[in-house]
Amino acid sequence: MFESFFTWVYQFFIEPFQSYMFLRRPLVTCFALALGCGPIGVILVLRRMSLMGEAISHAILPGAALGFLISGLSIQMMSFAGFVTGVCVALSASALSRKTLLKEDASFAGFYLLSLGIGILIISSYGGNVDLMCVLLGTILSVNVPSLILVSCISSITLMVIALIYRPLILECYDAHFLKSVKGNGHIYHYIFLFLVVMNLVSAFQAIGTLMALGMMMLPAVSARFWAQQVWALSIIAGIFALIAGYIGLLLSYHSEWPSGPSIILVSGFIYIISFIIGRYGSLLRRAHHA
Amino acid sequence: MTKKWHATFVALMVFFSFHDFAYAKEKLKIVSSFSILGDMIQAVCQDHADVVCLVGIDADAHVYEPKPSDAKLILQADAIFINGMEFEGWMKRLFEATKTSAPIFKATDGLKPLSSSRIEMIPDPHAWNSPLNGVHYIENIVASLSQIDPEHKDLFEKNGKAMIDELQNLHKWAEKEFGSIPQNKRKVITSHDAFNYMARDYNIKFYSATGVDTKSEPSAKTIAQIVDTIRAENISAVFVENITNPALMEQIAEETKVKIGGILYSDALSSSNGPAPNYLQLLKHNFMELLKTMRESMEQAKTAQKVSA
Repeated sequence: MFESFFTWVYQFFIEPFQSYMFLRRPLVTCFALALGCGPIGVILVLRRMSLMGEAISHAILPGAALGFLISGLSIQMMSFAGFVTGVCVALSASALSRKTLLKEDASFAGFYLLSLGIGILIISSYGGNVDLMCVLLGTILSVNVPSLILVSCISSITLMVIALIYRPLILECYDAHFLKSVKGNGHIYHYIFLFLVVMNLVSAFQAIGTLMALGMMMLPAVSARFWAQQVWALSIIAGIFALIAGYIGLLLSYHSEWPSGPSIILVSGFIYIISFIIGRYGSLLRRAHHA
Repeated sequence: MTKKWHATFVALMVFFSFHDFAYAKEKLKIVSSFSILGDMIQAVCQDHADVVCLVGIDADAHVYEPKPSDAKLILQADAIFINGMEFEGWMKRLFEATKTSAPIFKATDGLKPLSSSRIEMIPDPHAWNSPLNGVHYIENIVASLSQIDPEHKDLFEKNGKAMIDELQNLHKWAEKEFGSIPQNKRKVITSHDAFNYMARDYNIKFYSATGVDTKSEPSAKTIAQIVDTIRAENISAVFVENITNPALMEQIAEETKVKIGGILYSDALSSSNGPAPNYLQLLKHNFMELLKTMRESMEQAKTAQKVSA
């Protein structure tokens, strides 16, 4: 009796990944993304920049279009050029918000619309009939080895850089003036962080598409907010949520014939809903309890 | 995100696409929705009309976003040809927006649609991928053109007849060639479900990763079924198409250790120096690619038998 139960568990949870390489690769990609995107998402939430990913996804467009004009349909060139314009938009929007009266979200809105306009202008004047977004965006099931290696490299770099600048970065989130008084120029950490965000998003866009990239970065991070208070704990929980979502999402897609990207996002969304209802800190249930 | 994008796109295009298509005065102005249909119309009227295709070579008509210049073309046209069978859903909105007075002809009128191999109820619009249907297309085009320009009826009929003869010859040739290949070797994997009519006429079994539309994302289950099919039925190659992203097919090929057979031109012509610059060439190219791969797989099976013997 027990034996048949274990066989069922094995067949349901493990066997699909054992027999199909096309399922293992997305799973490993999800793991790699979960590691890198967990802390990035958490810090974005802390800085009230949760919607910045959406803006960056538009900001890479003119770069991708230029890359396409220069060397045709080369993913490397398009990703690289997209990365350059993404960084330009992120850095200039951020610098502007520090030098003028505009807040960061407002200057992001200005810059990303500008670059979206330029991108569409380039595509419609020179690009012909190619739907550039379709070419640039991948889907989770079609992740290939070069994309996987790129995503893992970027996750590793992200983790190492965040470890190096962890203290001043977090301090800058909470009290930028204090950091300035003890360390001089604290903005440098913010710029390094923006650099990491753009890098993660560009690699994830071309490997797995916009929905998946933003979903893996933001949903686990906002869910984690209800379960812990320290930034390191938030990052670990966000990473674990992303891992669970990736694994269960792929299983769902395998057993129930749902498309894989949306399934993974749905599982993350489900975790988010559970979190804001019964989470340990500041959830609906807690607030009701205290009131 | 794409929706936001499209709205901005349309707004910007209003400013940036004011270039006129210079039609010669006395020629008929005909607009066709996509390149394959456009080529058929051109073959029937030869120099007698200017045919403009809204969706060009190597482009995907399932997901096209019309431009203001397209609306202008439609307003100036003497006749508009579409494929029908829900192939170009975006055309309907374009007709409503322009309120064009030009007659609209459906090239598939009178053809009985096959349903998609993956989802019942949804018709497969890719009727042109069988030469026999191509004959029907040409007959419809000849009748429609004669209606709007009765003076040149004889010319249209003569050109149409020539095209029909070629299509029927091609059909006979293909029937014979595919007939020489055993039934169990006539199995093929493609990226989107575009060959139901060819499958019917030549008894080929096509398996596809996504449905008749190109935009849907496949589920892991579908891909797993395709991988299982390839392994169980000894299929030797998968095909990619000129209009779809090949990444998924490359994954399947790597997983099952089969090779990528070649590029099939399902929904759009190639450029004039490519392998499928017109409708007849397109059909021939697809047949040749399929036959080549099926034959190679037969050879492999034979050598494998010899080795084991």
